[in-house]
This record gives sequence, structure tokens and C-alpha cells, in this order.
Amino acid sequence: MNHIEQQAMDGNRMTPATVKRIQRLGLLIGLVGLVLAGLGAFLNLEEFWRAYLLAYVFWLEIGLGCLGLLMLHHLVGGRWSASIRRLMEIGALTLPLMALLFIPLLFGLHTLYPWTNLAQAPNEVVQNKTAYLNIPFFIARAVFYFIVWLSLAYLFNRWSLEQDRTGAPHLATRMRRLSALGMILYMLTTTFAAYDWLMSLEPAWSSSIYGLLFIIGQALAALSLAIIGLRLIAEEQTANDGWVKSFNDLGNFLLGFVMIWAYFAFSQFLIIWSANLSEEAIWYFHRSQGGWLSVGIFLVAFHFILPFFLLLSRRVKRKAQLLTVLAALMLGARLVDLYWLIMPAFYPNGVHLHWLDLVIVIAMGGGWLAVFVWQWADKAPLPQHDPHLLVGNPHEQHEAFSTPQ
Amino acid sequence: MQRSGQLIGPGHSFRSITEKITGMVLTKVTPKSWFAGFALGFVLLMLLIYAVGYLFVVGVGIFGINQPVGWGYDITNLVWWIGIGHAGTLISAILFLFRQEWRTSINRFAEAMTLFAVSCAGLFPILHLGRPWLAYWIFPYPNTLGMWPQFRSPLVWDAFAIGTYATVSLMFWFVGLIPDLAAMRDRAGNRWARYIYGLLALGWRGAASHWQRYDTAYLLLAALATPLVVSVHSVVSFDFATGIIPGWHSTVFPPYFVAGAIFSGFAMVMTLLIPLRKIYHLEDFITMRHLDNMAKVILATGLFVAYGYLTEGFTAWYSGNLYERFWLFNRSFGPYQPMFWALMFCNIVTPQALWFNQVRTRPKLLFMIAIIVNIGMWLERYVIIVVSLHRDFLPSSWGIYAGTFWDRATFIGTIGLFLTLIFLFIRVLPMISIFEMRHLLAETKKHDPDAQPEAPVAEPIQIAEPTPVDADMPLYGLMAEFEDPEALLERARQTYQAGYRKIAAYSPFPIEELPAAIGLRRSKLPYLVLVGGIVGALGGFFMQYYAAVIDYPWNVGGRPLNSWPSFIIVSFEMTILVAAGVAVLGMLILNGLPQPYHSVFNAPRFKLASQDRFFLCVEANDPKFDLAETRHFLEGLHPAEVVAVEK
Repeated sequence: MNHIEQQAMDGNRMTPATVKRIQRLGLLIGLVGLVLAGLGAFLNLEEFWRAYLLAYVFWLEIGLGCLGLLMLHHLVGGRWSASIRRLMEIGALTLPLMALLFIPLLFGLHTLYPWTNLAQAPNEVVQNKTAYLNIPFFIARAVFYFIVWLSLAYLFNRWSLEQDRTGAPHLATRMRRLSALGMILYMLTTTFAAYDWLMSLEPAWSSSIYGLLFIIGQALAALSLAIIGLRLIAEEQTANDGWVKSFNDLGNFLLGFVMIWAYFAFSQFLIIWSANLSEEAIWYFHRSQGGWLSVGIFLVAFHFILPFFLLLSRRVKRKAQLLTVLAALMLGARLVDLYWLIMPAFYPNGVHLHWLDLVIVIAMGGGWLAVFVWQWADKAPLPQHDPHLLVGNPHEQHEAFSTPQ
Repeated sequence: MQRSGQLIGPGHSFRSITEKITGMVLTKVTPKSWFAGFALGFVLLMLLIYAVGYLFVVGVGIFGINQPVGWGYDITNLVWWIGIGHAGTLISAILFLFRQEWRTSINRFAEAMTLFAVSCAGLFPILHLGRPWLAYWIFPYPNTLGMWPQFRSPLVWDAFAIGTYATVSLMFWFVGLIPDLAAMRDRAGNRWARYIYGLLALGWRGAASHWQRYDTAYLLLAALATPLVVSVHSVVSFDFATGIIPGWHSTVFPPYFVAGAIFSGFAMVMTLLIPLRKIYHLEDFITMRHLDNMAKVILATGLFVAYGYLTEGFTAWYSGNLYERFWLFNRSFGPYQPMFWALMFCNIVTPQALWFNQVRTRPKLLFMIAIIVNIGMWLERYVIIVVSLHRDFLPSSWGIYAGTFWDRATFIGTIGLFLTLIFLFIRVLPMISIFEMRHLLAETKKHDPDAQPEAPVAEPIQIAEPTPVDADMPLYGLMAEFEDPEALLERARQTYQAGYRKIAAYSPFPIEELPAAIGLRRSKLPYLVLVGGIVGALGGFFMQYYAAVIDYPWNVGGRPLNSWPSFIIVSFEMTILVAAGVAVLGMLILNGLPQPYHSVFNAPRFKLASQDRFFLCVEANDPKFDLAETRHFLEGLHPAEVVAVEK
């Protein structure tokens, strides 16, 4: 093990004991949550499925975002993204868990998606699209999405570990090539997944930017996770100059993503608001009834304005503690955003918060965390031999990721 | 090393870069191909003047537009030209923020292209007005009609967005030019040329304090230009998307228009640079690596455009709406189907060739692909506009559109205007940013000292005897000359530590640590710009609020008087406009520019400060200044020479 690798390993706070502890905690939370959720399902099955969908999309989003950012790194990344590459790889490895958790959702389809019950509640517009919105095709598509996502996650991780061991230069090229293809597949599958699993909750409504909104939400969630993870890796060294630069860069990207999210969300709103067609405007109408308007305003304030102004400041971006708090806030805002996207489909008249909405998110999070640290456990927290960390300039790597002596 | 290929050819020095780039302008010999290109542009420009003259006399009836297709060539051309402009801002601003060094040798040219493309674009909405001389009605100004522009209309947003874009692009371009204009001033042999470049350079001296604010301002401008460029094509897309016409009303329009704009813009940069690189022998500065990267950007944005087509088309079907579905069918199999399939071929099929290395390393092939993409993007806008308008909801009001001779003449004429401006630009201004190339060279050397040996200096440096100081001469200070940036940085630091406070360091490109070394503090400019932005945002919003709610309340389609969603756009553009204005003016004013006279220019060799020499000046009004002692101190720093500077 060379000097740099040693340093990278030193940064790993995930000692076997810590892993065990966190895992046990995660599984405990998951188990308690499971019992509570079971009870909830018994009491109110409809509520259960709605809460399940919310939790599912929230945790899925993080894993998918990790996969997307990982491929972005291989295509156009630099040092900033190399520092979070390993975290992205580990994040993508939570996708098999999400594939598993998708299976129960199949039993809730009739509760969640009105297009499954057209016989009972006919709708002329929706009837026009049954060629796409029908259960067999829906399942076939989901299977296809998961095959794509899991294959990508598997290949990147396998080659990455091989690169750690051998440092063979062809692996970087291979990963870059797969990313080019993978990015295309990722854009298409996530877009259609967003149409299938979220947009079709209100099957008469459609918006062509919806897939992009879902994708930028994933990127935000994954980057927030990465910032928190990197802070764990760099715990005692965050004042080190190289790390400060890395956090500054990540903060800038978070700012960029926040702005893109606002841009997509506002574009969709302005276009629908201006045209004012009844079949489209109703989507926003439902989301501004009762307390939903306040949730929307909360999103404007905490999903955009607050992070935007905080991230303009160099001081916030260069201070790992502050940036981590902000990243945690972003994850919270993502959950609220999904809540505001999903729940008005069922409760168009006003805010409705059920205790299951929180319980299932936390329960699923416990399981998610257990998988995440399990995958993290025996890996160097920084990728070894990443060309972006090494390229032409060994001094910089040294300067960037070294412990102060 | 993962990326092969250099950004600068081997064997270049600060001096050779400066000489090569300024030499293209400061020469009496103009290449024959320049005359050929300029003549072509000029002839087409005459065609434009003829067509526009005829339009003014006869009216818009000479165009093919009518009911139901009220927008034809003119708006197609507007969108096409605006899109082309976007690559310039992308290269100069976004790639700068991403620290993509390869932008350095192409950004100046691309920015100029932006300006000229926006000028061409701006003509079309005006020409298409019917009464073009009343175009200024679209701006809010006190008028006897007691009327305000309709701030809920995307056409007004357009005027603000394009106006802001043109202004900010011009400022960005000019700010980037200032240090190079100083280099031109210092190298021009002709008296008039020296005078004009000197006037435009505003008295730029390359002092560390200048560079510090300059870098801050440039970074701020880049950060402001990035959302601006995205907003401009988004606003153009709102012209279509906020309406309800099938094929226009699609929420994915803004990002997909922006991607299309970058796609076509890079194609245009490539179309122009590949021949120019050959004519002016710029292979050392615009290397294969540049072409390769641009090809990859074209491929990536092309794929995103394809994503746009897909989601747009699929969602039209998925909407279940009869008219949306008919549009989808009519576009592919209706009267305009040849154009639709041609655009699919140009924009989606052709760029796939760029996956292959063999294609990306052949300039001729790249040139051809770029031309095809340019054509494809024009067709795209044509199809969006004409197909949607010619058959909308009522079959009884369907119709067919075709452009006339005058439509085509005006379009081709603007290509003439564009070419004329481009060729004039490369004849009179440095088409590559000289100081950024010097900086890039310095950075390259710092990381890889052996890779690029310094070319032998043609004129050996004379270590001059200390100039005798005339006792009557009013003294400004003593100036020491150094040969490389590291020496200047170190000696400047020593001078500061020796207790001198009134010192200035001059360099031909920014040196990152230099301002701190001589005790300069971080610029306050960002705070001024933030205040400017807030003033612009609030001012912009309240102007619209006052117009729509207080001064002229009027029911427009049942929308609320305070239509805040529509007011966001103009408020945003005003934010950027005011903030960018503050950044540029703030940088100039804080730097004390323009300054027609400054004593340091009296130093005989100071003109090399804009080329390859580094100067350190201790001013006579420094409390510690003592002629003999300070001279002794400076000579102890081993400079090439020390001179007394007359006031």
C-alpha cells in the first residue's frame, strides 16, 4: 500500500466495529418501523401504500442520483467529483435493495394508480392511453429499468474495485465508455420511471419536463448525501486546504443544482400558469388548496431561496460543518418536495399528514442505512488510481488529500 | 495522462504568443483569403440592405406570412441566430466557471460571434413588426399615450432578455479585451492605431490591484452570464410554450431550447474556426484537442436535443389530447414531412458520427458535420413554427406557408452582416485572448517545467546602468524590472516586508498570490454586485407591479392584476443587467479607470509590461522612500534594471 492509499485508508471512519454498530442501529430502526408499518397497514391499507410510495421514491432517488453523478464524473468530472466518487458507487449499491422493495409496491397498484380501475371510474382522456398505462406493460418497464440500473451499478463497482487493486489504465477508459452509454439509458429510464410511478398518479395530467425535474431532484439528493459522507471521511481534516477546496467545489455544484431545480420547476409552473388550460392547471390548483399552498411556499423558501443565498457565500461553502447542515436540510427539502408532488394526488383539498408517512420513511431509511454502511465497510473511501486525482500532477493529490502532519 | 493533446503548441513564450496574436492585426499584409471572405460577407450585406430597403417601402406583405402562419422565416431566423450566439457565452462563462482551460484560445472569438449573432437576431422581430420604426414602443418609458408594455406577454420578456443579453455580452467582451487592447497600444507602430487602442484600453497598466479587481469582476460576470444565457433561450421558448398551440405548448421547451442553442452555437464556432485556423496558421493555439472537445460538446448537446424531441413527442401522445396527437402525426407525415425528416437526419443521425475518434480528428469531416447541424437547427425552428401554425384546431382555417424571395434574401443578407462583422473583427482586434494565453502558458510551465522550453529571446536584455537622476525632475518613483513572474512575486513580497507600503507590481497577466504579497485586501466588489442585483430585482418587479396594478389596471384574459409569475422574467433580467453593470463599472471606477495619463508609462521599457516583463515600482511618496537607499534596496533584488520614473 503506497503513501496515498494509506492516507486514504486512514480517513476511513468505517471500522468494522462502527459498521456493526450503525448496521445494528439501522436494522433495529427498520425492524421497529416494519412492525409499526404492519400495524398501520392493518389499520388503514390505503394510507400505508401512499406512505410507502413516498418513502420508496425518496430512498430510490438517492441511489439513482448517485448512479447519475457517478457517470457524470466519469464523463466530465474533475477533482471535486473524484473525491465523492466512491460514495456515489456505494450509493448506487443501494439500488438492489430498492429493487427488492419495489415488489411489495405491485400489490398496492390498485390503491395508488387510478388508471388500473378504469372499469369502475371511466375517464375518456385516460382511456386513450391504456396502450401505455396498463399493468403488464407497467411491470415489464419496471423490470427493464431495474435491469439497467442494477447492471450499471454492478459494473461500475466491479471495475472500480479492480482499479483500486491493479490501477490498470484501461479501466478508466472502460468506465468512461460505459458512462456514455449508461448516461443515455439513465436519462431515458429515469424519465419514464418518473412518468410511470409519479406522473400517472394523476393519469389525465402530463408535463414533458417532469422527467428532468425528477432527475435534478435525484442529483440534489445524491450530492447532499455525498457532502455528508465526505464530511465523515474528512472529519478531523476539514480545515485542511485541499479539503476546503473540495467542499467549496461541492458547495458550488449544490448551488448549481438548486438553481437548475428552481429553473425547471418555475418553467413548468409558468408555462402551465400562462396557458391556463383546465386539464393542466388543475395539477397546480390541487397543490395550492388548503395547506398545500403553504407547503409550496415552504419549498420555494427552503428548497431554493435559503440554500441559494447561503451557498452564494464563500464562508458557508468552505466550512464543512455548515455545508453539511445545509446538505441535511436539502435532503429534508427533497422529502417535502416529493410529499408535495405525490400526496395532493390523493388529497386535493388540503394537506394530509398521516403518522405512517413518517414511520415508513424512517423504517426504510434504517434498512437503507444498513445496506449503505455494509457496502462502505471494506472499501477505501477515496477511489485509488482515479485519473482525476492523479492526472499529471501528483503534488496536487498530495496537497488535496493529506492529513496535516 | 488521460487526455492527450496540448492546448498550446510547443516552443511558445509570453513574447511569441503576444507577437503572433497582435501580429495578425498590426500588419500591413492582409491575407488574400481575408479579402475573399470579407467580399462575400459584404456582397450579402448589400443584399440585406436592398431587401430591408424594399421592406420599408412596401411593407411586410413582401414576406410569405399570412393567416394562419403569421410567423415564418423571420422568427425562425431570430431563434436560429440567438441560439448561435449562445455558444459564445457558454465558452466564455460556463467553461470558465468549470475551469476548463481549453476555452482560453477560443473564447474571444466565440464572444465576438455572440455579439454579431445577437445583432442579426435582433433585426428580425423589428423587421417583422410592420412598422419597424415604432419598435421602441416595447420598452417602458414615459409616453403621451399613457400606455405600458404588456408585461404578461413573452414578447416583452423577449425584448428584455435579448436586450440584457446583448448588453451583458458586450460588457463581458469588452472587459476581456481591455488588457489586450493595452498590449495592442504598447505594440502598435502606427501613431493613429496607438492612439485608438490606447483610448480603448482606458489606461490599463496591469497593476496587481487592477488584476485583482479585474479577476473578481470577470468571475462575477461569468457567474451572472451563465444563468442569463440559460434564461435567454428559455424566454425565447416561452414565446411558443406559454401559448396553447399544439406542438408549442410543452413544458420541456426551455431546457431543450437551451441545449439546442448550445448545439447550434458550437457548430457555428466550428464552422468558422476550422477555416480561420488554417488561414491564419493558428494550429498551435486552436489545437486538435480544441476541435475534439467541441465535437464532444456537439455530440452531448445533440443527444440532449434528441431527448427533448423524444419527451416532447411522447408526452404529446401521452397527453391523450386529440390535437396534440394530430400535431404529432401531421409533423411526421403532413405537408412538411420532408423538412421534419431532414431535421431528424441533420440533428440526430449526423452527430452520431462524432462518437468515433477517426471523425473527431479530421477537421474537414468536422466542418461538414458542423454545417449539417447548422442547417438542421434552422429546419428545427422552421418546423416548430410552421407545422404548428399551419394546422391548428379548426380544419377550416388550415393553410400552407412558403417563404418568398424576400424572406430568403433577408435571411441570407444577415449571414452577410454576420460575416462582414466577423471579418472586420479579426482584422482590427486580437481574435485570441493574449493575456489569458500567457496565463495558460505560465500555468502549464509551473506544472511541467521541462515540457516547453523558452524560445530564445531575439533581443538580448541590456542590463542598463542606473539612469542618472536629474535633480530637477519631479520623481514618481523607482521601478525595477524582472524577467519572470516568480521573481516578481518573491521580490514584491520582500519589498513589502522591508516596510515599503506604496508599491505597485505590474505584470502581463494576473498572478494569483501577488495582491496578497503586497498587502492588498480582497475586493469589496462582490458585495456591491449583490446590492446591485437586489436593486435590479426589486426595481424590475415594482416597475411591473406599478404598471399593471396601480397605473394601468386592466383585465387580461382573466389573469390577476398582480400576475407575479409573469413578472419574474423581467425582474430576473433586470437583476442580471444591474448586477453586471455594477460589476463592470465598479471594477473600472475602483481601479481609477479610465485614466488618460499615468507616470509609470514614462519608464522607457514599461510597454513590455503588457508583453513579457514584470515591474515593481516603489513610489516616491512612500514614507520610507529615500532615493539612494531605496535604489540600493531595489538593486539588491537582482532586477534586470532599475530606473527612475518621471512624474
